[in-house]
Amino acid sequence: MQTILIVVAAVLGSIVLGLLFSWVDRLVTARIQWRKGPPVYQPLADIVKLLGKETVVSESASLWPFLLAPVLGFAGVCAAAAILWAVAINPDASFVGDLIVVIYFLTFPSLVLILGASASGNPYGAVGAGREMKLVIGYELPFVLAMVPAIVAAGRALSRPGFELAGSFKLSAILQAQQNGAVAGSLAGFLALLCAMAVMQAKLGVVPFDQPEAETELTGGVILEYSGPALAMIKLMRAMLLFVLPLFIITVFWGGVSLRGWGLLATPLKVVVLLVVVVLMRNTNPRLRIEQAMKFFWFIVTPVAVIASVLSAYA
Amino acid sequence: MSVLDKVKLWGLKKSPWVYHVNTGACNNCDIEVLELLTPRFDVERLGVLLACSPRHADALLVTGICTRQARPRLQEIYRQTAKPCLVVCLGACACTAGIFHDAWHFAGPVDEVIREVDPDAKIIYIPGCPPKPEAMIAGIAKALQDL
Amino acid sequence: MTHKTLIPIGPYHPLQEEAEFFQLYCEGETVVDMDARISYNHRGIEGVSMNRTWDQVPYVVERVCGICSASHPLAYVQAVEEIAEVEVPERALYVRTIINELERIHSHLLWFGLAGHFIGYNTVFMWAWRYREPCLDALEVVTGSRINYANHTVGGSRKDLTPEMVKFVGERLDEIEGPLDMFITTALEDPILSLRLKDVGVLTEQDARALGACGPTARASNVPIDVRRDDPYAAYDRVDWDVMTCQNGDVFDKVVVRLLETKEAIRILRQALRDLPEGPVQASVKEVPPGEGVGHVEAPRGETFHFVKSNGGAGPERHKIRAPSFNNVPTFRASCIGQPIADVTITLASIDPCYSCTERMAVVADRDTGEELMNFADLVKLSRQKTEEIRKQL
Repeated sequence: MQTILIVVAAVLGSIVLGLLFSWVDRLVTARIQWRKGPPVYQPLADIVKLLGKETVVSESASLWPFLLAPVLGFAGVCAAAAILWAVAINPDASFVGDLIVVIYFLTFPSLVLILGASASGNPYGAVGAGREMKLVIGYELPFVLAMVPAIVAAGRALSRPGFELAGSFKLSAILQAQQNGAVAGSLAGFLALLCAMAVMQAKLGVVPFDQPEAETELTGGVILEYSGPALAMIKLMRAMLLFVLPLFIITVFWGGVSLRGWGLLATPLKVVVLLVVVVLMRNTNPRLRIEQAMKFFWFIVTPVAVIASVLSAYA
Repeated sequence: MSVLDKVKLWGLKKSPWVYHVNTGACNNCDIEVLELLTPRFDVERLGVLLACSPRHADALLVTGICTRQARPRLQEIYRQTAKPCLVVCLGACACTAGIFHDAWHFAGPVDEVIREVDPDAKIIYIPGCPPKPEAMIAGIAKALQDL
Repeated sequence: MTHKTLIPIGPYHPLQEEAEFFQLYCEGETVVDMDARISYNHRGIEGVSMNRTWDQVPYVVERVCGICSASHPLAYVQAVEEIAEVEVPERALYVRTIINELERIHSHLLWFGLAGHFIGYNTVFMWAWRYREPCLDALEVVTGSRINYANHTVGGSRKDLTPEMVKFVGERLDEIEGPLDMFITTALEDPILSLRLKDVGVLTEQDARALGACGPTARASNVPIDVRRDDPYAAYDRVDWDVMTCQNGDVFDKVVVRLLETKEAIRILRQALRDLPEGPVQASVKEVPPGEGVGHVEAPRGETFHFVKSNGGAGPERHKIRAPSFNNVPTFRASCIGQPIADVTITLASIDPCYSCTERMAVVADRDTGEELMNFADLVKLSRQKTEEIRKQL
């Protein structure tokens, strides 16, 4: 019963906070650009409107993969959100899914966009799917490598009573290990955090890594063919990611969420800092070419992540 | 009107995404449409966004006389747009063909071209050459109020 | 083994505001061949203008293209003035210069913003358009409209500048100048911008000359042509200014050359506002005798050319318009092939194309008899043969 409550709370909470965050994103963007920006209910109005419209499916699309993709992606983000909330609310609970599961679920949005775009039967969709695939290949490796310092720290903390590798993948273990200081406090952890933040930008699909959508090149690319409720699902998924990804990064690198005492002030602050970095990056960069993006991830982010992993072993 | 319809209408009024179709305009209306997005007018505060695909659009901003080349394409775009959607005839050319009424490549007023596809299409006229951005905002706001 | 996909850019594509159609033949992300198809915007404006009277035509050709809406009328009135041998008052020449240079500023800033938008850099878009507003205000005060100015008439200028207007324009220029310097510094120094734009869509000097590029597209490739200097009109020979060129011909240089030209336009404007002579702005023109005249003007995109033939009647007997994009569109073949899609889109935008200017009908006809030699089916056949040959070569 409690589990169900947590899941419902996690999904609803992520939706509400996600929509709020996407409003903040649009507002800050507007302010940087000397504009007034949309009202606070704007993301909600967008979703409501899209839900009320018809879904057009082109003749060349294969119906089921095309329509199933947004649902799957939405479900994946919901699952990731549920696990992260469960850990945040009750870290001592028995198995609620570990780091690896969350990483899997966070890959869902990209994978379903590839699926949906390939099924859409549109040449722009095909190019967009190809780009998304390249991007995933680019950023997943450094993303996983960036987790190493956190896992090692957790392993070290657990090793005092008796080293247990499997246990150190648990999010609760990672959280416990950070009680005396966040992973990001060490040099290795900080480098890993930077890598994870770069990947977050790509996972959110915003400039400079919005090549799969690239409205002026591919007219929307992967999401071009979607309309109505299906598009609403994708927008909702994106909005939730805007909350879930910072939450994940805080959990792994930055001492997790705490709503007691100072935590009540510190937790929102952490989320806001991450969000502001995303928005600033997005507004002060042009879109990279896809091969430039891949070079960035493979030859800059990955080596930094490797260095962070190696350093963490000697900490 | 049921509660659900009211909610739907609220969404449509608060978040009209527009797709911009140039059916043979001289660019002036098109620049002024882009002008709407920029700091002085900033229509995003009314929820208006420029959509990149007709699939995402709630309103088609049609500028220019409908040329023979553009005519079938305009009809196709209207068919491809997710309904409900409005059609906004922007500028003198789209409303009445204006100065080009005797041009040989002119293939019918935009409203008639659209009505061929959908006789019940909701069409809005914003005259001017080009209409001032303020006039465009006023026109779209009036149309939304009238939904 | 090659597998080609066809990526259509257009007819309705958010990259360009106008309808145009480029077919990009791609291998993976690389464009190996392209076809351009333009005529979606063809309105038959030359035909329209031949049904109008001499005084009405400037307002028609103004609508050839909204962004060059001072250049086309000016080229036309110069052509008519050549036929009628009108002596245009000195002050009118200065007024023409002022309006055309204001148009250049607005057009170049507009393009700079759009270029940012095309590479996903919306902050540049918004900032550039914000600082373009003072220029539009100045134009609105001087001519009465933000975009279609309707100011050039045969024999002079429709409206005179009052001292208040001169002061107002000067103040607006002050507002633009600071941000413009900032744009130039930013564009030159931003590492990611140069990563994205340098060595993209290079048009070599040779290609630019061979394909007959004009305007900023040519000047970015180190071809210093500019009608304002080569065949001065209005008051350009009475003010001190330079033709800006860049060396490499890539998209980055096209950005830089336009920004530098904007700076130069401010310089021209300041001198023109300072030296504005006293006198009338309109010479009286009684009739246009039979004859032929040519007018060309350096529009923001390059040379605009108008040919007018008069038979002594109420309006032009023949009116031929050649817009700058007509020269610049063929340069795509030299600058786009072999580039990835992401670069091709910005290269397509980099000549600041204006399709509504360019839209043409092509008829293959015998020069003497006017008989149509090839119809649609023949042209399709020809095209298929060519495709077959290309396929054999691959």
